[in-house]
Amino acid sequence: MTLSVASHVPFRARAGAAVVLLARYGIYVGLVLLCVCGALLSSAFLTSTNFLNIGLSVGYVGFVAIGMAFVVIGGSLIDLSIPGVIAGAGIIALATEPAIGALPAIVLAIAVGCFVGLLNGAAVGYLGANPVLGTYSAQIIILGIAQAVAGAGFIYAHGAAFNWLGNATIAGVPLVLPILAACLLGAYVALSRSTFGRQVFATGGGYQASRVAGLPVRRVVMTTFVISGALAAVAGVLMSTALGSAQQEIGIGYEFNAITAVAIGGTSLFGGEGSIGRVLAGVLLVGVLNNVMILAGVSIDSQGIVKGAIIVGAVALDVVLRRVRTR
Amino acid sequence: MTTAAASGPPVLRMRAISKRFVGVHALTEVSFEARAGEIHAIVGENGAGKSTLMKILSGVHQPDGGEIEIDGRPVHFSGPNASQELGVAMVYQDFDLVPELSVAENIFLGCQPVSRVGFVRRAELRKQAQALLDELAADLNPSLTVKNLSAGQRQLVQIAQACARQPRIVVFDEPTSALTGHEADNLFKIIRRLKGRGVAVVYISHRLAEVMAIADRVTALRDGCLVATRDIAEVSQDDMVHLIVGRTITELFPKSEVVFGEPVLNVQGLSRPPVFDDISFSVRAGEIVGMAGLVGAGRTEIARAIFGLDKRAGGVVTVNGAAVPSGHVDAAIRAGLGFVPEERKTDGLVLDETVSQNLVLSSLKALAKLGIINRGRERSFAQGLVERLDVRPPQLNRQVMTLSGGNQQKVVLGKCLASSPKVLILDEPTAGIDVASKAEIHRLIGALAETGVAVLLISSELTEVIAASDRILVVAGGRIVDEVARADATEQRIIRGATGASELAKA
Repeated sequence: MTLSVASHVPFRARAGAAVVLLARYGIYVGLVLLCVCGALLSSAFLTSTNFLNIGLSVGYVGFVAIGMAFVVIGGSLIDLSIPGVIAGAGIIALATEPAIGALPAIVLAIAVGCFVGLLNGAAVGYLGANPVLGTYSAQIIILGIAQAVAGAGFIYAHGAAFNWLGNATIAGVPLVLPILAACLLGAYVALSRSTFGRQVFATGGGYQASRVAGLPVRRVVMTTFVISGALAAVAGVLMSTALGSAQQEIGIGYEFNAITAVAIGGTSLFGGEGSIGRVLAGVLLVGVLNNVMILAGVSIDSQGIVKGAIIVGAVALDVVLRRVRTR
Repeated sequence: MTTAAASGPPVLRMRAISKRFVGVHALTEVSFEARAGEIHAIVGENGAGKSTLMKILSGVHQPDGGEIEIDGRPVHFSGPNASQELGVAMVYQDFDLVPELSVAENIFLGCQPVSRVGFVRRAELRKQAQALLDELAADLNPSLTVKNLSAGQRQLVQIAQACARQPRIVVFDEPTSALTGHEADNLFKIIRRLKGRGVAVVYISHRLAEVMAIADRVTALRDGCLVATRDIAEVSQDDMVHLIVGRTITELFPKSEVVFGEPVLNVQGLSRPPVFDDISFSVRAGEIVGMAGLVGAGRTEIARAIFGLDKRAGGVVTVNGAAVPSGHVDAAIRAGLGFVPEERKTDGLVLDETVSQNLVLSSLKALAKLGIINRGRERSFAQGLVERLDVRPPQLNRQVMTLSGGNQQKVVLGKCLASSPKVLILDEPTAGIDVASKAEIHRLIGALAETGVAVLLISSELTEVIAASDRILVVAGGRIVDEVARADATEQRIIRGATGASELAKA
């Protein structure tokens, strides 16, 4: 929107434009401010080792948050199946690798992630299931299967290939980060440059209007869940090879950490709004915040309170933004 | 019929009322009065300010300027309750009743007779409701559940509800829009009864013949301003049209002569019981076929089924001989159908997105290579449509939500035109749109017809259907009951068809 418009639109509309700007770019400003705080509080903050630490601490959440962003922008609120998919993919990869080899095991694990996403998406998109209940029941079922197959114990990585994958670095950077970067790039192109991305935004922003416009709305919703499932599986495989083991609890909490990062990044939980850049900023903000609080010696209890307050702020901003824009 | 001279002193005086919404003057210094024992009609286009004025009277909106007097005393409505307590009652067009409750319970909703321990006294409730209905000479059992009632009966409940508080002023907003002819006659009797009891009746309607028949005085609004208040005895129906529109009908609905081509859209035996059945018609290239009928006659559902939004139970739709499959919008668009839906804000537009994003929504594939959108092509494509339709302001990156209704509708139309349709179905394309945009949209429709597009125009506004169509299909009770050539099209004939058959269907 150009400035010449702002000069003759009424105050309320201008206030609305300010809120839109805040929601769109506030996260980047917040991230920079937080980094400045970190640098002032601790000399250890501005070091490459520390940045690497931050990157590693949020790397896996990053994959999940990308997928979650597709689901949320497409208007389906949340994918709660993620802990199940992460654990399931890790267990499948490690358990099948001795029999079928590393690459087929990885492909199989990701395929299973896609399949779970397909089921979630079919339930939500085609059958009209509530996304919270639909994907939560998927989580319960998968974790149940994992427990039945692997028991309560650990599955360990045996092959040399997984050992290598778990420890590989490129120029000193663990492999997980370049892979995440590639996924972010792909997601960025898909969301903001492709026809599919447009369909996701339109479906989330106006389901009926998108249907009337001839968009395959149900398929679009389903595909967002497939993406979410696939990326959660990638996270699960990378996580379990890095750990050298997998068990049914490794993915717990990732769904909420991811939705937190997505919401803090200003992605509307009502759908139709958001960007990969802001999701990344949301992920980093949580990582940097944790890091700064640890460096500054903030107690564990207070850390939770600060994080909670930030989430409340992000959700409140989302609500305010909706109100202003629909007035 | 009583003349204005015979009715009493003004009960209600609204002086120089002004109201602004974000950037729009909804009302500019409008004055209006209603006397005891008078039926005072308010007429005007959609968006002329009728409902805003009534929302101020009912306390829903607060005026930005002007004053309201009831019985000569200045009043201030802080909300709907304050307005009710001062004797204002509203009968809206959409029936605001609780479907699961009985007639009596609905009538006394919120003010039921209650026993000392807090239980509703049911017998007393029924007795009072019966008394009230008797007073209105309304033949209705107070024990019936509202969800089983017809539209006309529901309206009786609403009127009784309004009268339960002994109002001084009763406002009827489009009260006959969902009624059959017989029900409407019954309503008029009740309104005259209220008038006889000294109530000031405010009557809002699009149907000028009704206004001529029932009102004592008429006030016309246009673009938020008062045009005139006249005694009904002094004006003819044509005068009224002129007061409302401010221009002649041919200026409003410009119509060019077009030579028709071959039939393009063919609909054979389309059915989806119980909503509509056995719908067959065709539209030729360059022809504008109107579809008239009452609200709920099934017109929108027919259009949605043709376009593939709803599945059809039976029947065939073809465009230039090629079958359009049931339930596939994408295929319908590819076959050459375009659809401008009735609900602009939910079905026509993605409100959060920009003008450009909305315009290209149905044409994404054509603008992309290997799934990636060519942004330059997208911009020039959208720019072309904005210029062709004269969308104002001509900014591609503006949120459609911030445009006026008329310009939003141009965007919806542009989105359809983007896929070069051979058939265009328009469902109430000018509802809630200001007069100037209305004329513009009709000019666009005319221009499309000239290029050989077959147009199906659904409208509840008879003047619009009659002025714009080459041929009119009258729909009632889910069937086509009459087909009227342009030369024979009169309001009377269409109303007769639209209301007559629904009586039949009920019998």
